[in-house]
Amino acid sequence: MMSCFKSLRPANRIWSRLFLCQTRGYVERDPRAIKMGDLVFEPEYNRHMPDDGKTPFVNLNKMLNVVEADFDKESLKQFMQRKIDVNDIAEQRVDAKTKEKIGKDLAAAYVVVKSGGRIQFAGMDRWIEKKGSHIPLPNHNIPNLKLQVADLTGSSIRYEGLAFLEGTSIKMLILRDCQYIDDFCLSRLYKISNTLEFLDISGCTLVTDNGLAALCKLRNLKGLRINDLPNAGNKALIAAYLLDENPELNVLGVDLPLDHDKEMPETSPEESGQYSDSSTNSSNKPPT
Amino acid sequence: MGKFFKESISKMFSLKEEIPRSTDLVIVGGGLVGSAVAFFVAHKQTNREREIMVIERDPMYTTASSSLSAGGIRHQFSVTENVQMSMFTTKFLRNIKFFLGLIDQPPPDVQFNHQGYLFLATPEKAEKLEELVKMQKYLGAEVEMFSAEMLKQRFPWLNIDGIEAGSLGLNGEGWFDPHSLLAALKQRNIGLGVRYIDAEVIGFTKKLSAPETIGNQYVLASVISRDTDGDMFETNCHQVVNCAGPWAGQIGELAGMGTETGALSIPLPVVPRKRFIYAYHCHNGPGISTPLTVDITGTYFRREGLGGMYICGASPESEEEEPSIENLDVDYEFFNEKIWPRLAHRIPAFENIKLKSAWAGYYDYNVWDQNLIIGPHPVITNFLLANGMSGHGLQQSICVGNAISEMILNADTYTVDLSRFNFDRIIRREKILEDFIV
Repeated sequence: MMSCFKSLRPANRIWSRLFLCQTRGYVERDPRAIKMGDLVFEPEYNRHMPDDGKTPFVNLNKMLNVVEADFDKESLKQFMQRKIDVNDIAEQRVDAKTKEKIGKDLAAAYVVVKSGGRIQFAGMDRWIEKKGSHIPLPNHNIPNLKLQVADLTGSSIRYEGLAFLEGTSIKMLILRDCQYIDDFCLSRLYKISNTLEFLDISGCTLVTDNGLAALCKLRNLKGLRINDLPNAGNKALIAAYLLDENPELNVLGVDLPLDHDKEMPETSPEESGQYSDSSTNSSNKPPT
Repeated sequence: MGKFFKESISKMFSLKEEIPRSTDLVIVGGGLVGSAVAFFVAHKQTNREREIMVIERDPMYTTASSSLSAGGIRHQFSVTENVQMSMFTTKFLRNIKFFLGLIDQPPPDVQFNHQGYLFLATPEKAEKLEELVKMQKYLGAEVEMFSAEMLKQRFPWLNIDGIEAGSLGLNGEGWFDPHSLLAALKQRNIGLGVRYIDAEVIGFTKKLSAPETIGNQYVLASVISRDTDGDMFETNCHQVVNCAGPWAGQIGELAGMGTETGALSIPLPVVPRKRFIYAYHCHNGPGISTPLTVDITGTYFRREGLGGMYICGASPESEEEEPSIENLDVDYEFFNEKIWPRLAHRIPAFENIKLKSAWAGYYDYNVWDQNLIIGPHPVITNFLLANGMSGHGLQQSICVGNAISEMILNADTYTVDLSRFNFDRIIRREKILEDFIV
């Protein structure tokens, strides 16, 4: 009796198709299929599909590289964008073997320079960037080489591409005008929270208020530039909250509100004979 | 004259569509789980092969758990599949532009707050927590253990009295607006050809499946539903998915679970359980980096917005204290007696707060082991279950939708293997227990 109730997983895979066969009496052929004599070539093939004895189905999907897309302008645009996305993600990845061979900092440098950015190592003064298609970086491990600055202005760095941050000790990261940097990418920056001191995310249109709030994870941040963020409406307020937690932070590109919990003078200005300065520190700040 | 005019105008413009007479896939329940199932099947299938119909009796989602949820998503679970399911949902939300976005329009915004979850542990539980964090990290979750002193440094508002350690989600955890996700899913589904029907399922017709199957196996041949005007419709279908959330037990009963003998004598052990959320304001409360903090007592709170508002809640400690599910009225005594003292002890700033509002919603509570039940019923072969997530429905909905779509569309491999969570374990009287229930 209990054997009836064994795990039904193998049966699940064909029961639905079998069911369609039983109830409808046939399986609808994909209208995109190409018929040549007795053979029918279908774009999608399921090896579990039962043979109905009518015509043999052949899997030529990989050989023919059939494109699964509708033929209208929007779908084609989406299809091309998807191709770009997949390509970018593949380019911005570094496999574990390469990382082991040349070290984390150099692998990170490779990703940045390959994506069109430029880098500085600790102790060096000049920028290293791609010249044409040549990447002027060594391809063997150099001990004590620390990546310090990464400038990815205008690049198409993605969330998956930011994996290069892991294990590095980057002090300054510039993500200016990066069209694919969004809130999730800013949350991922926690990986360099120990060393990061300056961050520039101006012009990243996908960043919203919640992305700026995620920057609370960067606890050693000393400088933050947040110009031109059209989708972050409350960036001044969030900057004030970030300052509450991290008083050493210097926020550029935003007009900060006056101390919002400034103590009101006990006597009126006329009586005390002076107005309280906005530069005097209020004593009402919450403990940090 | 005026009344006659109004009536004829309303008849001319009445856009009441009839419920279709036959369809391929019927999804009972149009909340997050139902919409996710519909989305993945519609998104993956070629050429609108299957007609999909979602039946939802509350089209404005006024009492739907999907809208009333606190909106948290975390990767910190003790069951490995639960961790993987939530990670899948995070990955989906990260790529929401690809899945649910429309060309040349800004991507749907679910207001994802990235502050993570913080679980606090007593000295007795700290070692177990550390082991679980190791397991979660092994699966790829970005979670870290903190000692009590490190927690005090990072979160000065926290009172570490009685706390030995805590685990904090560093990336991918947080909270978001569930209704925006639901709206985005529904909009994309309608674009993909899914029909949303405003009706209530009131019955199924069952028939014995073909004689060459083993024993008495049934299939659900049609769904009987009643729409908002009271008219009843019968829709022939090939497959039915139960995504009715807290009311899944009732739908299971309509399908025959718990009524006859043998495997059909076991009802679907999902019942609604009411939970409260209280919103309050605190001047000088915890700042912007505050995670969704879960105390050792099970009480939780999180920041809400940027104006000093917070929300909190807790599950009752025992079965006797479970509130009545007859309506969604709020019990303020529960807040005053159970929640507020514990919150104020853990976060001293919350000694001075002002309660602003509260609401209640239903958990789809699995009374057997508070974990997901997914997969086809062993006897009613075309009846798929996706129920019993017991408060984790929001986090697991996307992955459950994907898993059901893989079962329906005969995937060669499963993204997350949920075969352990099938209904068989209820029949075999086995439990899969989750330690981190909030």
